[in-house]
Amino acid sequence: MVNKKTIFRETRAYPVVFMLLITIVFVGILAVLYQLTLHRVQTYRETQLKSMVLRTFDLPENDVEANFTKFISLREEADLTYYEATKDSVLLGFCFPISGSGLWSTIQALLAVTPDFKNIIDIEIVSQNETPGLGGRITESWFKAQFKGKLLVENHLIQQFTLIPENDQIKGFEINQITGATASSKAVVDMIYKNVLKYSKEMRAEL
Amino acid sequence: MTKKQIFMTSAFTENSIWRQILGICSALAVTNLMLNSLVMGLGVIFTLALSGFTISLLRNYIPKRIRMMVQTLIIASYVIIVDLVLKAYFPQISTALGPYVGLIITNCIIMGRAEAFAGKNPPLAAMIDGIGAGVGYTFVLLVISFVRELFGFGTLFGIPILGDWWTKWSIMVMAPSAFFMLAMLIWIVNTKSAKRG
Amino acid sequence: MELSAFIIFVAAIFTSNILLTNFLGMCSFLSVSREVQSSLGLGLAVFFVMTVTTALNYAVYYFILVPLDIVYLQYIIFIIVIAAFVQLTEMVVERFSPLLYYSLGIFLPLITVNCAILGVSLFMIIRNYTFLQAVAYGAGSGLGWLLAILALAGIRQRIKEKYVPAGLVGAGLSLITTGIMALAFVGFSGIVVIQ
Repeated sequence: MVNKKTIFRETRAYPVVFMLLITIVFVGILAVLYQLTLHRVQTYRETQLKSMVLRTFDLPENDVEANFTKFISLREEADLTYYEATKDSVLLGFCFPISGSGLWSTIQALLAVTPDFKNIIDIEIVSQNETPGLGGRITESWFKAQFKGKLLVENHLIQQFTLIPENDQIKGFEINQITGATASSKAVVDMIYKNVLKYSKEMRAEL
Repeated sequence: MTKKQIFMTSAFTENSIWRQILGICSALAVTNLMLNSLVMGLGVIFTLALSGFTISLLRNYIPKRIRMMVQTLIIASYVIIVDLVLKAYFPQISTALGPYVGLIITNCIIMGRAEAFAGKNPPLAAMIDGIGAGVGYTFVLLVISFVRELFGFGTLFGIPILGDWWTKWSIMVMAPSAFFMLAMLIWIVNTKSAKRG
Repeated sequence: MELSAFIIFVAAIFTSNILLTNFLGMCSFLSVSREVQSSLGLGLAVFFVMTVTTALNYAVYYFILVPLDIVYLQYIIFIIVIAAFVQLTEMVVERFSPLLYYSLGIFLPLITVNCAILGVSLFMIIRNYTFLQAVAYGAGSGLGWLLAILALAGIRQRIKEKYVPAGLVGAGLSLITTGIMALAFVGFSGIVVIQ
């Protein structure tokens, strides 16, 4: 018995067989684990998105599923997908999933606007992969808060925001950029402009 | 060697980072925040312990020619497990650590321990050696990130320590500071051990 | 704003240097940079492997992993692709140029565990690059790594004759030097559409 085993171990075939076997075992374990956690990961992502949509309208986030069903409805028309928020029979506004090219990655966000498209209600960054500590700061509350309630329209036209240094006073259609992260800041501003332009047209808003 | 000796050697006397200069990549990358360092450290400890154990179990069966590939496969599998668990149970941390979790695979420490210890020692000893190396590594990471987070963000583990009066040292957030911190750490340790001599 | 492949290429060398900004590929970087000759050899090998494997991994990811929904296996698959390619390169070089093999040969196994190579493939996926951008990124990162290791080797050869405090000899000094280089490279960030 011992002889047979030693001889097999030294054959040419052994490394290949060994490699195959061990690959199957480990990949098998991983596949199982992946399937087990898949549902959890997907549920988390959905809950996150829903909670963010609620957040843009300042709606309560505590019981995400219940509140989402109560206040938000998903609208899917032709090539438009967006969320509509209603509270006490009043239309609060629309929330659009938007995306744009950041410096290093695609930035995905949720932009909520008033029904007449005249003001931004709020913005939430869903995902980004900009430089941590620099461009990554677009997720910081002070940066996002600048867009809260911001006026979008002048003379019946959507205005593009201009970027000014971080600590300067803003007036009108200006936004404080993040020091050292001009590109990422600009990416957010451009992304908002392009998408508001697109959606206001598609939904035939009267500006 | 007794179990305690194995642990102390791999964790401190022969510390992977300051003594063997291994595992530098991630030591520099995740040390901007203490929380990231802790999670990375735990991931490395887990991978080191289990891969050491597994490789040691199989050490008499792994053909010499494909030794590196087999070890890499085993290490990579455990890392993927860490990644899957993080994604499922700690998603925010998973996003923060990003690709660095995957880079545990090429963390030279793990391959280094596999070659130097796990390949030649019984499973339990290999596991303890792995845990020791991981703990030593985590310790270094926490020390560096302590300085970087405190001076770069004014916080520790996200809890604000220094008030608004503190002007954040942006350099601590950026790459170069990690190099300097690590160099200083090595300097201090080398000088101390030379004195003890 | 869309980044052209060329801009990514330049940025990967200077402003987002895989070693000085992302800290990848340090281990072999620190040990081999003692001499300029060997650094050049390793650097070129890394450049070559990085460029090709980035392209290969791109294809594997989008044509195999995604359609089969086994994206979570990307770490294993990427590493196998890299290891296989390095093995193949080693065999080809040994067969066609024994001379090149003897000078470069020892570095090739070292490259397989170079975190920079795996890192570049992973980053390329996260950042959603197109094929052209991915290749530019791989090539640029390889060149950036080569540049960094050559610079460090040159500096180390100069420092050899100077006084260095005992505790800093070797790794300590290399790290400080690299840190200063990293700082210097931060100064490059004005070249490319700034971040």
